[in-house]
Parts: sequence; C-alpha cells; structure tokens
Amino acid sequence: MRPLTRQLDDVALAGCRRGDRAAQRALVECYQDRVYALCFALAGVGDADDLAQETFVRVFGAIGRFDGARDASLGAWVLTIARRLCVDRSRSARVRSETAAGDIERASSRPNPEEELDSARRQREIVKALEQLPDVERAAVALRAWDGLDYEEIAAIEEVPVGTIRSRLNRARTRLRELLTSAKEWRHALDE
Amino acid sequence: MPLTNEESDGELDEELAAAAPRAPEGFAARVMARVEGGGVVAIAPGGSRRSRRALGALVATGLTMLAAASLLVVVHGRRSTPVEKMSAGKIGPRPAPKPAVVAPPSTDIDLAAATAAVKAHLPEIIRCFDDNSAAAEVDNHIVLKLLLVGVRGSGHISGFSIEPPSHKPLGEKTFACLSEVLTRHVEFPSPPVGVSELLFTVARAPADVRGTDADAPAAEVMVAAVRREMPAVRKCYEAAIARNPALRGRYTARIDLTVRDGRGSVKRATLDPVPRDAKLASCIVGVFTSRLHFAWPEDGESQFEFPLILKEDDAEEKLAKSYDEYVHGNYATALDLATSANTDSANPKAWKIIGGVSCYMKNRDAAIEAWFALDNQGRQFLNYVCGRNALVIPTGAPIAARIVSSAGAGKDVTLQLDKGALDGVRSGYVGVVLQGESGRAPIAHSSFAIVNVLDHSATARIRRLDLESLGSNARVLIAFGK
Repeated sequence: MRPLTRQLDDVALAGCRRGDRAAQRALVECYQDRVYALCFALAGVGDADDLAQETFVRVFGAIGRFDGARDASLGAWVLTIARRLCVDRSRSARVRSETAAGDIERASSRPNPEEELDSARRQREIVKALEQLPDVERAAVALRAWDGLDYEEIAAIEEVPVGTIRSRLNRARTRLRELLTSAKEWRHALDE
Repeated sequence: MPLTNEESDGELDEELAAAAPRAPEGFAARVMARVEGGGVVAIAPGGSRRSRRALGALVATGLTMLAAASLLVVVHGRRSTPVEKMSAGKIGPRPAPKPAVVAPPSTDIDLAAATAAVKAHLPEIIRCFDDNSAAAEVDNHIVLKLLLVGVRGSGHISGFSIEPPSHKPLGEKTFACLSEVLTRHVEFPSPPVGVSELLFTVARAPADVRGTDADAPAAEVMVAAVRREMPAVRKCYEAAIARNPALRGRYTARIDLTVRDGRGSVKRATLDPVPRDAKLASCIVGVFTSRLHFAWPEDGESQFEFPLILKEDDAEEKLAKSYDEYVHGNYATALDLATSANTDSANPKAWKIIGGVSCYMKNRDAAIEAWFALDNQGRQFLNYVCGRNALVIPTGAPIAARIVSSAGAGKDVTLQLDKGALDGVRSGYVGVVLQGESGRAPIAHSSFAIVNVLDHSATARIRRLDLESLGSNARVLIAFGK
C-alpha cells in the first residue's frame, strides 16, 4: 500500500491557486504516481500517460474551486478528477487498450537480475489479473492498494455508499486471489 | 502456496502495492509544458458565446465577465522604470523558451521542427477558424493532436483529432479546411522512418489584442491572476444588481502593475467608463488593487487593460454553466444556476439538472419534484441517477388527481385527494402539487406522501410548503415511491 502520507502543504496549495509554476510542479510530483496508477488501472498503459497529464491540466484549471474544508483531501479530489476523465475516455472511445504488462517493469530497480525477473513476472501476473476485473472493481482496487485511500474516500470518488466499496473490494480480492493462485501454480508447474 | 481468504488482506495488498505502476520519467516536465501552454498562438477575434460560457464556468455563477478577454489580458505596455526591461504586453525578458510539444518519451521525429512547420501555416489555420464560424466551436483554446509520419526523410501530418476526445467536434467546414492545411501543406524534415504525436494548442485572443505579442508569458500570469479574483468581482456586481437590477455595462479595466522582489501587485486600477454606481466602481477597483498578486521574476512596472463585461446570463447560459458545474461535481452551484434558469418552472433541461443534482445531494423531495416535472425519458434518467446514489424516487406512470380540500400551512399540510385505492393509489406513495388548476410544473416544496387511502379518496401530508394555502381543485400527481 502507498498511503497518502505525502500531502501537499498549504503553502504549495496556495501557490497553485496563484498559478505559481514551482508550486504546480510540486503538486504534480506529489500526486503523479497515484494519478498515473489509477489511469493505468482503468485505461491501460496506452492511455495512462495522456489521461494523467490531462488530469493535472484540469486540476490546475479547477483548483480555485477546491475547498479544503468541504472536500475530503486534495489527493482524493485530484483522483476524483482522474477517475472522471477515465470514465469519460472509456465512454467516448470505448477502448480499453491492452495493458502492456511489461511496461511496469521499468519501475523496478532491483540489483539482483533473478529477483528482478521474478518480481517483474509477478507484477505482470497482477496486472493481468487486474485486467480480468470489472472497471468498478479495478478502480476500487487501484484507489485502495495503489493510491492508499480509505473506504470513505473511495466511496466519495465512486459516488456510491461505503458498503458498496467494501463489497466491491471483497469481490475483487476474492477474484484476484483465485487468479493469482492459479497464475502462481502455473508458474511453479512450468518452473519445475 | 495458494492464497486463501483466510490470509490477511495484507499479503495481497502488499503484492498489489509492489506492482503499482509509477508515472514515467519526465512526466512532471511534460505536464508543466502543457500547463505553461507550449505552442500557444492567438487567434482573433474572440468573444464568442461559447468562449464566454467557458470563462463563465471559471468565473462562477450568474455573470459573464471578461467575456471578450477570454484568453489574454495583455494589450500595450507603458514603459517605465526600468525602461529596458519593459516591453509591450509583458514584464521583463521572457523566461527560457517553453517547449511547444507534449510528446511521448521515445520519438525519432524532430518535434521542434514539426512545431515550427505547423506554426509557419498559422495564418491558414486561423483562416480555417475565422472563415467557418469557429467562434461557436472553439473554447478559449483548442488542442489539436497531430499524428506525424516521416517517410524517406520527409515528414507530414497524416491525421489529427481534437483533445480531449470528449470535446465537441469541429464543424465539417472547419475540419475540412484544417485537414487540407495540416495534411497537405505542412512538411518538415524527418528521419527515414518515424511516427510521433504532437499536441498543438491553438488559443483564442480577443479582437482587442489583435496584433500584439499574444503569447507573452506575462499575459498568462495576468489572466490567471485576474480570473482568480473574478468571484470577488462577481460579488461586487451581485451587490450592485441588488441595488439596481437593470445594471449592465461594458468597461475597460486598466491596471498599473509593479513587480518588486519577484512579487507583482497592482498600484492603480481604473474602469473606463467609470460606472455610475460608485460603490460598484470602488468595489471592483478595490478587488484589483488589494487582492491581485502574482509572481514574476523580473522587477519593473507595466500597464494592462482588458474588457470587463457585467451582465446577467440568460437562461441558456446559466444552464450551460450549471451543466459544467454538475459534471465537475459542484452540485450546490449547479443547483442554484439551474433553479435560477428555471424561471417559469417549465424548462426540462433545468429540471433534469435539478433532479440529477438532487440525487447526488440526497435531497429526495427535490428529486421527486423534478421527477414529476419531467417526461418519461427524463424520469428514466433520474431513476438511473438516483438509483446510483441509493435514493428512492418514484417509478412507473403517475396517477393524476385533484385536491378536494387542504388544511394547515407551512409544516404538516394535509390534503384530501379525489383518487383512492380503486384508482391505484396506495399508502406510502408520493406526489407533488402542480401549479394552478391546469398546471404541469410542480410547486416548490410541495412533495407529499400518501398517509391514508380509502376506496375513492386519499389523505396526503406535505412536510413543508412555502405557500400559505393550497386551492382546492389543484392538480396533483402521485406515483409509487417507497
């Protein structure tokens, strides 16, 4: 889990509102991985970069409307915009690009090549397993496991009750366990 | 070892977390290049209804301001100390050139050369917009996604699209014209074989700034700064129309800027002509002089001016803004705008937004009123939206009835209705009172619940009603709504 511990401070947020470029860059760097991960989960690697960029462009366009007292957190607010963009994109294009699972290998930087290979393989399996889930469950998993949001925040983004998020995550976890177990067994069988 | 349900979520979550993709290298730089408006060029004239609307969404409810200055604030500079650092429309020298492209990391086409080639055809591109009523098609900026193809050392554009894909499509003529210019006329050097994409932003400037240095960086900074303060200006105007509902006006705002130690502020602001309402003038000037601040690296002074249009939006503009607010999740603002646009309570678009927003805001009474005001298709839409929000509203075909008598006012109004169990009315059903004897639109806050049913009559209770009394014979609609 990657919890939302790194929040943008008030000074940087105020800077973003003023259009200060350094502050805007700080915001992008603060949230880029979380936004990218969500877009990756929902739109695939083909569109993730573009959607994540567009998210930040929209964030800066709308940041004057962000109300720290009313909105749950800046991170959740940014992810809400990303989520809506992904939904819009999938509605308009009806394209869910195939996830080039290998693409996420670039994130790994382990020194041991064997470990690296093993880890990359596991990552690929996880991404493949995620692809099998319905959009809403994939979004819930990404927001929970990759973006570190709590159930209430996810419910607010998805505009559904918290109980629905719980059941979506339960279903998703059960399905992921099945898929990953199966993948693991296949891998072991092939390795042996 | 297989993972089982008995294992903690921790193991799975850890595995998932380990697989978390990260933003690619250089991502932040590419976002910033986009934010800073790489490749932005100005098209005149501006001031379309659509551009006003787009700006209005930024400005907030009820007003259209700065309508003509949809993109740029800069006009002419008045040179002052230090003279050599000032020039028309900008303060100080430009910072490092901004990248004009947002490109995928691996490309073998020279995107700078491609950008230059596109820019060389700008007059023709602009003509495509000018000659084909682009005013109605383009917001204050439009992003073209160009597909670049290089073959045997010659690069050209093989296709283009509007970004984001959800943007309203261009008109046929504009599209054909752009297609002609971009795909046939633009050429650039390329490697033997190459494919890439180029995002090219075309921005709209007001007619007032035609011929000026439109993409001066200070303009962007000033536009952002002025837009940021528009809600405060709006408040000034709202206070003024409370004093004089007919107040309208188009003014030129001039502001003298000074930058010291990287911090810019307004020394003086004026409106031309001076508004007759002195309070309005001092309020707006006060907003600019006391609140408008911006950061800029070079010290100096300059003057900017921009049009400021004060007028109330018409119903369509309000609805357009309301819809914008709705899709962006600003439900309270969307509701205010849609309600104010629904002056005769007969605007289906307004009711749709009111209903949809009410579903999200969990305001069941308001959603019920909207449901009864809509046609079948609109009702289905509301059932879907409220269903997504776990809010129960009526379903099925409404039953029309009339009020036989009413008692009480304000809270707990009791109605006797002329339809009962034999007409299909059941206890717990919900309904609304319609305006007048033959009215179709619901009266505000008139939703009721059926509390008692006899064969030929029913008793209903309204929890809160703004009217003093309800006339007998008024129409009501009832439907299943448990």
